[in-house]
Amino acid sequence: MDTSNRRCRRRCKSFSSSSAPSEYRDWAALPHDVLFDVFLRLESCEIMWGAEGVCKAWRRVVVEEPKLWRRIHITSVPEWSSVDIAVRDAVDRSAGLCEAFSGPWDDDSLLYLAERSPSLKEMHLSHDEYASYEVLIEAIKKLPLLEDLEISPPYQQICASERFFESVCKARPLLKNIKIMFTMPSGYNMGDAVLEEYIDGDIYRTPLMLELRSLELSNYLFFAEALTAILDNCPLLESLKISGLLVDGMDAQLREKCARIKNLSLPNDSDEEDEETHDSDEEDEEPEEDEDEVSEEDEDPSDAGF
Amino acid sequence: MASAGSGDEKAAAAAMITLISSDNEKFEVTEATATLSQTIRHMIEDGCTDGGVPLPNVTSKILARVIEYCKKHATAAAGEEGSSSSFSDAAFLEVDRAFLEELEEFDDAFLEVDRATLFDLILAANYLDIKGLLNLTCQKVADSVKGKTPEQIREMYNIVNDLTPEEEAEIRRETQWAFE
Repeated sequence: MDTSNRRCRRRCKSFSSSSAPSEYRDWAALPHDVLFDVFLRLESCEIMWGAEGVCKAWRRVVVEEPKLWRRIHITSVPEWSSVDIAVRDAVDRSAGLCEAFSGPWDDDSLLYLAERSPSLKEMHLSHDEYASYEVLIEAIKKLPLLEDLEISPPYQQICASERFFESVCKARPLLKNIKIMFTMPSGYNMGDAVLEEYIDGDIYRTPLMLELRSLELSNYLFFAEALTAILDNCPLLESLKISGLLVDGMDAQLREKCARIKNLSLPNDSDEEDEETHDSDEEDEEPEEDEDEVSEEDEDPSDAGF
Repeated sequence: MASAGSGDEKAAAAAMITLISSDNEKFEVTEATATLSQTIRHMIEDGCTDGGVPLPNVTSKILARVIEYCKKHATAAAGEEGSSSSFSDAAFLEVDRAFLEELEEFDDAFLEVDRATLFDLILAANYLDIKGLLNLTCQKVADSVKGKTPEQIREMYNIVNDLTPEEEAEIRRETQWAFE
């Protein structure tokens, strides 16, 4: 066990795994690189309310490594803290390097993120009924590199206030992936939505989206004309998944346009009949790449075990 | 245990390297096994492995485990190269999949160790620069602290809390109203 008389100590780092007589190991003294590697495997909230609070050595790694915050992933915030504090803190730590954000939001924290994250490419926002979607549009405009956007706006608020999908497209026409999951309040169905929101025959039109590869809209209510606009104005579209309700039907010409989409899923698309009203097609949704992030909004923050 | 590489069928043909643990035990391994360690790979490239490679930071107990890992994964790497150069038909894919599954099982079983051994394996993997082993062990630590409070983590790893009350308050990130 004695290493002192070894001749060669080249390439040797400053540790010794053999000197401790008992089975005690000093986990606080793990090399900085190793701790960094471990923390990279944790979600941001697990670092903030877990690893960071263990000891000075562990905290130093968290504070000194902006690269740990390149992907900010917050699934839950303990009840004594707040979304605003958590997001601001993570954004400060990232020192402008943040490339992906996934988590809860409110107006202030979202603007804080957008103003300080010029490299942000991916933004997945969980559902928040108190957040303002005007602010979201404002934030999107501040993010020149944004490619991937996922949001779950509450159905009524959005549809009643403005053409939300269209606003998103206009705010950032070079988006590559968009996923909008309109969340339906309980007891509210597509039939109600038709009566309330479409009584004036208002139709959303997608502006030109030259980079859009993938579009997913859940609980979406639309007309054939809107679908035509999507197909005409998104030349690179490979994947189109819409659940909800196609209010009118598809003609042969529109079906032909749909044929070029590799990965297509539309409500009623296998049937000429379109009178059927689906309350919710969510069960039919193909799970996409980020399935875990879809479910996280259901988590109760107090379950986090902090 | 002293000649861990002797069971290898290719041992006769392959170049052999001698690794010497901190407690002066010698392990003979193939170059393919040894070079999973970037540190040793560089030593071989620098031509300074004659007379054995002393590893003053790694005990024989840990070195034996590390070699066990490297042997398994070196075989896996060789298998992969072999199959990718030939036609990758269904049969080969099937073999590949079975092999990967076996490798995963090996890794899982390999990690069934006490915390002190895990700690030593991490330091050895870091020192010897063995990417796969470092990934594996760091993931094990990460999984063990996931969703845990600082108190739980400290208890698990016997870490003394040396944070000041001010630092602790900062880390809790309480809202103003939570103080009241």
